[in-house]
Amino acid sequence: MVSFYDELKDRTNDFLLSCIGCGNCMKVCPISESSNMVIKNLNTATSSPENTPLPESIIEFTHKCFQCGLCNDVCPTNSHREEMMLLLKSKLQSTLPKEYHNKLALKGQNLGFVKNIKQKFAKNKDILGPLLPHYEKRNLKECDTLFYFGCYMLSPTEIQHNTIIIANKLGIDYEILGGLKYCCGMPHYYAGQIDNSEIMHIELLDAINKVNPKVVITSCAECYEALKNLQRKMGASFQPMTTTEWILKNINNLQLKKLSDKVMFHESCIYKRKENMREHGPEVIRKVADLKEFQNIKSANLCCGNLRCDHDPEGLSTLHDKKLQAAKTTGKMCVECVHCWENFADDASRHGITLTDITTLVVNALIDKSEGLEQPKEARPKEIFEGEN
Amino acid sequence: MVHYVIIGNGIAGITAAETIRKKDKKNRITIITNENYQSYFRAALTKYLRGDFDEENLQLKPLKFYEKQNIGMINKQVTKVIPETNQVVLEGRGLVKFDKLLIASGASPVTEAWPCGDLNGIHVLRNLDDAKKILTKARVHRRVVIVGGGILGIQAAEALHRLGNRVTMLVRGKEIGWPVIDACVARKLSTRMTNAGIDIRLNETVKEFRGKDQSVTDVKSTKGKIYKTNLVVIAIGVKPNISFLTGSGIGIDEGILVNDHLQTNHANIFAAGDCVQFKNPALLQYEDRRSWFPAAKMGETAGQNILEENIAFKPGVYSSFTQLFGIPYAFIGNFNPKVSLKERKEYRLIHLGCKTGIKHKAIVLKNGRIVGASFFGERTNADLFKKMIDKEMNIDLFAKRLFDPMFDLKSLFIEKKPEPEETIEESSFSSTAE
Repeated sequence: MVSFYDELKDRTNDFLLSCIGCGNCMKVCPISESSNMVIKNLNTATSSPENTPLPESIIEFTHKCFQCGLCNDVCPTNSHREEMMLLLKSKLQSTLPKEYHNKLALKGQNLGFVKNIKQKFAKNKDILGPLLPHYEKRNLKECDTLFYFGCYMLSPTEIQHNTIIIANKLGIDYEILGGLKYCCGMPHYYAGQIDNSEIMHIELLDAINKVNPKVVITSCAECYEALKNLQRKMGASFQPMTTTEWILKNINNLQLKKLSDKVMFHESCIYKRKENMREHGPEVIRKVADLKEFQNIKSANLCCGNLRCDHDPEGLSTLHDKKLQAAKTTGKMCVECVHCWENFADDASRHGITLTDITTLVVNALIDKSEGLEQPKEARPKEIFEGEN
Repeated sequence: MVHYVIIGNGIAGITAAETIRKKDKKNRITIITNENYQSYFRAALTKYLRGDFDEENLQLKPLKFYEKQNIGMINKQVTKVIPETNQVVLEGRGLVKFDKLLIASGASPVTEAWPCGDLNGIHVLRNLDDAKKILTKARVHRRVVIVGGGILGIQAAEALHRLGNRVTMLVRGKEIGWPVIDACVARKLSTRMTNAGIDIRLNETVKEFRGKDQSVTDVKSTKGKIYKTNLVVIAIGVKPNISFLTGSGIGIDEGILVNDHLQTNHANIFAAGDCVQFKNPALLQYEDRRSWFPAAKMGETAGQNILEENIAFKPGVYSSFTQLFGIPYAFIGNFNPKVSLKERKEYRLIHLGCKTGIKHKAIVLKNGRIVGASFFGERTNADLFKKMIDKEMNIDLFAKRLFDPMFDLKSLFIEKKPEPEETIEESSFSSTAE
């Protein structure tokens, strides 16, 4: 198997060669620094060997890039500027801002710092609720269906609980894998720590192989990409599935009523641009609620910015404003991925927009909710996460 | 000390120089060029023409790149190459001695011997000087005739139209862009261009130019029509720059003949870029290779082979990813194959959105294997289709589902684990032997 880093390097080399310097990528880039970027400097920086001194402006821009992939759509040669930026980021590890380190240090079986995990766990313990026995569980049973919750088990969303409600409703046998220890490694990948990411992929595959599942279901776009990587590159035999896809597959077995909600749908960058799975979300929403399209395409494409790992939050907030302004037509925005929810939560409440997600919509649309593990509650505020480290 | 000499400062030449410099830090590299500029993004010239950015953004490498990389430059025209004595003859009696030579002299535009074809105001569009000349005139003159309906012609028409000119396009064929734009897209595109105000004349080309005071005033077409104009841009194709090699002993035909290692008939002379013609015609069709990415890739491979790494050039199928009139467009593989009536049964065309809207997708199958694809308007998965065409994947069973947005294309490329059956067979085999 070719290592992740070599694969990225090979692909990026071809992109660099095919670049014709039109500058379209920098014109659509949502990051404000992009207007000062010149393609020749960026390309030379990307192809330069590691530890070459680079101008401050390029370093700053690189760490602000959150891989949304808007640049890919406008490239006349169909190259991926975001992957070139990722390679540059991996070469600039020595200058990685501390926000990245703070976020990444928590995760992974051997890479995470035990102390930090304990602190974070203590703060977020009540979020787990009925999932507490499954947190970083070691004795996993063999099962056909595995819910892989990864690090979002500690997330303040309701997505993980709702998934279990739906699973109980369907009456299937399942196993749950989750916790900071079982991180998929994609946050590290997108922060440029590509070798670390590969180690975590291998560790994750070992954990999943204990369960020996046929399908692995997750609600996080990054986790889904990691599962796909395991399937494509490491020869895993299971079928990765997003929660949305899984719901869509079983939608006839769920008794659903149609809600009166009018919702806008925020697409995840990874599902949309990297995995080409843009149809599942709207399909499910159309079944349970009224789907409204974003009118202004430019703001509709804006990303939640999760892959920047909380670096430069003010800049991100101004970007969110554009998107949320466009969502005000219905006042309700639905997301598919856990991280989109986490990143939009604060700004949405500031704009007075109700943030919801597909699993919540489905659970609300259930005619008979009695068999569920727990009734869906209003999502908890994000404050629980703040003040760490 | 080894002296590497590179003729040509285009993308092939500069990529080769960079590739050599990455691995060989001390030996001498010299680039000989007849242009007075640092190398620039030639493929973005139409963008420059449109006024999207200035000359600084057009440059390929930052300032002082050549000094930093220790690459020497000679700004002169090469008149001759003498392989026997390893020498390059420059214009005005200069001589450069080389140990390894790379010829990346590129191509120049084709013109025909039209009457009065040398009048002022008649231009080709190939290098920065041409673009500058056209730009100064396009700001003054308000009527432009573009000869040729290829991708360059379309992009030049778009750029000059944006600058406020009245543009007439003379297209020799019955559709614009044949054969690198599929017929359905050509129709959609020409409707769009006509609506924008560009006058497209099909089945028509130049018969003669007429002028007054050494400047062009009229174009007379083969249909006998007369178009008043002050500026003519000719974009009917390119031919390799190989005239300086005639009689040198280096094998040439339409281009410089090379093997799949980009080596000419002399072991220490290589060629890359638009000037190349491959000896193995099955490997590469010569017309298909003249674009930016293959040139860059050839430059890289030639650089590696000059360092004796022995790497074969793998081109993959022809593909053209570009934007026509602001709409993304992808054209991959052999979409418009020349087939006789007998062979016609083997081919199958599947298309979506041909009659409605602007978006269009189509694939061509030959005996169930995908050989070509064309995307217009949206091309999210175009790179995956290129992969499929490269592998000549047999997709007969699910061809119709390929355009279904729910269909997971990436799942086609999953490399499956080797089946354990083989080992079982072996063991059973050995047990019977016992």
